[in-house]
Amino acid sequence: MASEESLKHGVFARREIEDRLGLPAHDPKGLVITPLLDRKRALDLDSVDVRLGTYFLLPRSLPEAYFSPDRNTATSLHVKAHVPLGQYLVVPAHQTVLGSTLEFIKLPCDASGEVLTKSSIARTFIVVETAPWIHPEYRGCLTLEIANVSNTPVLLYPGRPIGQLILLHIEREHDPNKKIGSTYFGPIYPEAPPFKNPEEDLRGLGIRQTSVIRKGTIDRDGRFKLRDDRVNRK
Amino acid sequence: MPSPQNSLIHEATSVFRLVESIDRYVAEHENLFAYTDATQDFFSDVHTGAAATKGSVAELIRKLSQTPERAELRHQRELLIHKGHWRTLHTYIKPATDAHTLNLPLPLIRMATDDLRTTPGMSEIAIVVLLTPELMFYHNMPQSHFDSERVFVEVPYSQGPSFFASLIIYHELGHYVFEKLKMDQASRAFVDLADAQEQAFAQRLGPALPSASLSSWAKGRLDAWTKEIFCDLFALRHLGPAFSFTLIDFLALIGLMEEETVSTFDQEHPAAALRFREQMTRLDKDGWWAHVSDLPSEHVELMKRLARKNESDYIFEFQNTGIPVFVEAFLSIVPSIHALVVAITPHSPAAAEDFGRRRQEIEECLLHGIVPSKLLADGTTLSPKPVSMINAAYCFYLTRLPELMKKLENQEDWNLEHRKNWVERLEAWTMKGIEDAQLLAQSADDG
Repeated sequence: MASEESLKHGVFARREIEDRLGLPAHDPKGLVITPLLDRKRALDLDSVDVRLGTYFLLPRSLPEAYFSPDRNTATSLHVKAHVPLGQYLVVPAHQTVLGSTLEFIKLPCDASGEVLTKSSIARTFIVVETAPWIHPEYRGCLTLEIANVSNTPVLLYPGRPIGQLILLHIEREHDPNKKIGSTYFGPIYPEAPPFKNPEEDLRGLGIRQTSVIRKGTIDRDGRFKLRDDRVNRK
Repeated sequence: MPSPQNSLIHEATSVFRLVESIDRYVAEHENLFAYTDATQDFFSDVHTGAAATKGSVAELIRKLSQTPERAELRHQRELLIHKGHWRTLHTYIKPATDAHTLNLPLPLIRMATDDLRTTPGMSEIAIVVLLTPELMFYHNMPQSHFDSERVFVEVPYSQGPSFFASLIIYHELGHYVFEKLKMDQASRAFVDLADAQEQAFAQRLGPALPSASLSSWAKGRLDAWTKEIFCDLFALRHLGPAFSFTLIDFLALIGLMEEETVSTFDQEHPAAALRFREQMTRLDKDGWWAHVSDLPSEHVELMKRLARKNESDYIFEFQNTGIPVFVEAFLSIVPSIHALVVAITPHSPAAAEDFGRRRQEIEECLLHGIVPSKLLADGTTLSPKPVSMINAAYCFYLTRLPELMKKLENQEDWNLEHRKNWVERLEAWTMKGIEDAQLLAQSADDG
């Protein structure tokens, strides 16, 4: 007969969420959600409400006619903004901003997570979208892509509930000797994606030559001069 | 030949324009960035002041246009006073607008404000941070026409976002507190300290000083040194050993300072050896030292080494001549500085105790990349005190960063870029922990 443990599958119910929250933070099976404000209301039958944090990355108007995902993305595509609790951020119609959860979250080793837009929020044509999946043992404030798909600007108030975190069981054991990926380890603010330059990614496929757009100027003698050698990808 | 009336209108326009451009500059930045409440209040006062000055200048010229023959010297003086005030204000505006919330360790500023407000008679104090091009932290004491309930602290612009380095702010707040105590003369302990200073001067220095100017200079040295030790201990009472560690880092004492330099007093500062001896003494009395004395860190070893220096090794030179009597006079004042700091700061041993109990668990959280704002103890969750998080994070920074990096893919602890990234992340976790604790306390207060 299967043990009770092995029968666990599907979505975490409230009781299990509470049990996991009661384990030490560094226990592999422990769940951390902090600060868990208004705990009674935050915990639902099968989910936990997450609130909007105070830091954002807003899309920048680029000086170029294109955007190339590469090593410069971290500094080229976004503008940082801080909106303290009690103030609001205006998201223009049909625009997306990056925000993050107010809560710092650490998932158990045997759970994956998903962030869904709170239904009340979704009905205002705000969608927390596109990359809602969270891997086991992830830790950090979750970066949220928040899209205003309506025809009017919408105000976002940091500190208000915006999403629901759902936890799902997976069959997996914690391996204490396995190193953890460092890319998204413990972020507190929304983070720009850490792209490599395209030729570095494509080299793995055996592609030896990659077309790139080079940024530069033509001097008085008609010679091309690179303006920024960080984009020279020879 | 220009008429006096025209000259006045010319000058009034210039004042009007200066005020308006400062006012607009502030408004533009307020639209772009968020600021702390204290800075926002400062800016509101700038707007109010700008409207008042512009109104006053316009009224002066309007009256003058009705009676042009009465363009008097007093009108010119009035304009000069306005201009002088706004020239002074001008120097504060740019550093204040630079200090928006993206450039500051915000939870630390909030915590420092709360801590400062526990000082008797300072419950309404607000901290306005200024980002300065200097690589130094300062307390900026404005002229009297500024609001005395506002503390201006200058932070090097490159250090603004750095949490650990910004702990030095507490030392600068000490300067404000000292000046305020001096001004108010309401604290018994401060009066006792002033008496100790007088006595030290009268018994050890006064008789040997031939002139009034030398006496005044000598008193100035004792006062400056007193203030520095006071500020160190004030910061220490609020922050615990993390302050000493950050001061060591800030003064670049590890491995860089020569033996003689650490024992030398300059005109403004007592010798580093004495400063750290007094810090160690205070930490010991407040119950902190027992928790960090065995930390396998160069910082702790350095403090022990400095504290062991003989008083007879302390040097104060004036015009290349050693004057040990100054040092002796000052050493007799030091116990009164401790007494003053203890009298005006909250009971630190409670914080030391919390740190002692929670340190290991906070460090475990940090080792696993988890913000340490909720810990588990005896089956219930609790929030450690922010000061415990700060000290545990600093201990972790000094001793366990490589351990964290070893748990992560492709991170080498000798790689400075990697290491810098993890120091920044450690600081971010600490700040988030403090912010969470502040939020949890606030929501508990609201029921």
